[in-house]
Amino acid sequence: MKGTFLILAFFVVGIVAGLFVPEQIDFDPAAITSVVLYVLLFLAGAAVGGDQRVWQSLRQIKPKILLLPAGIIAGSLLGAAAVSLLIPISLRDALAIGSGMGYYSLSSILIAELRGETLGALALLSNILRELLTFVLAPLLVRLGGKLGPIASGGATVMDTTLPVVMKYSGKEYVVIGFISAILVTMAVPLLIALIL
Amino acid sequence: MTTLFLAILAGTVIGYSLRRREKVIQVIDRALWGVIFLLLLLLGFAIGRNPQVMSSLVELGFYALLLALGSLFGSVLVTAGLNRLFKLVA
Repeated sequence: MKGTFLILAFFVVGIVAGLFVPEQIDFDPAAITSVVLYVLLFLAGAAVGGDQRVWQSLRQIKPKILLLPAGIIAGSLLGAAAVSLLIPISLRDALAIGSGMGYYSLSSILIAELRGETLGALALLSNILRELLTFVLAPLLVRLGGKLGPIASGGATVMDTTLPVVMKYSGKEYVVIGFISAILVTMAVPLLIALIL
Repeated sequence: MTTLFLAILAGTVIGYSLRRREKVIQVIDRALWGVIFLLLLLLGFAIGRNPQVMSSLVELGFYALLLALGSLFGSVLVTAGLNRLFKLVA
């Protein structure tokens, strides 16, 4: 989520290197053993768990507000499932990509590990686009879905990159609720992907 | 799969217990981003290496856009519906 540009840069440098490095130097992504994956998930958990803002916000939760992240997750899965009918991507793969909810760094790596680099690339592109579209469409989303629109659209990214968008188009009073929802959505991302694939 | 859950859970518990030690949390955060950058570099490398994926990159981009729009509007519509039913925000 942090530093979209930097992430894209690493990804593109990787592609260019893959194109030009001579074939003899071989690399198989499946060779990144699951140990690295466990380290990644452990660190992701620790980063969220160690974030004081997370626990301060979670203390303010009213039970009803849990419906917001639940709705974001359900809507994301429903939307991805609907799109899978139109394109040659299986329902299961589409659901996995949809459950990224904008958290492209973690979701693309997880999906690449579990289902190969093609699907990993698709997950990366799709979830980066979700973040970018949130920036672009925020004014329209407020009209379409009310003040919760940008929070729903941003999904996990409302924890950092798109929080200013929420502040601007939904209003300051939506920042805390958006942040709480994004924490829960973020925590759900790896769990959903592991469940689906 | 259970191990994946346990890895996240263990991370969250340990992160929580260390939450007041800001220096440690900062190191964890940096390590996380280091691992992510490295793995994305390797993912890019594997893609650049794979002529099949490279030749379908435009197609993949189009599918990615459709999936992004689908999940984005799905989330917006479902939460708008829930908000109307349950008045999530005043």
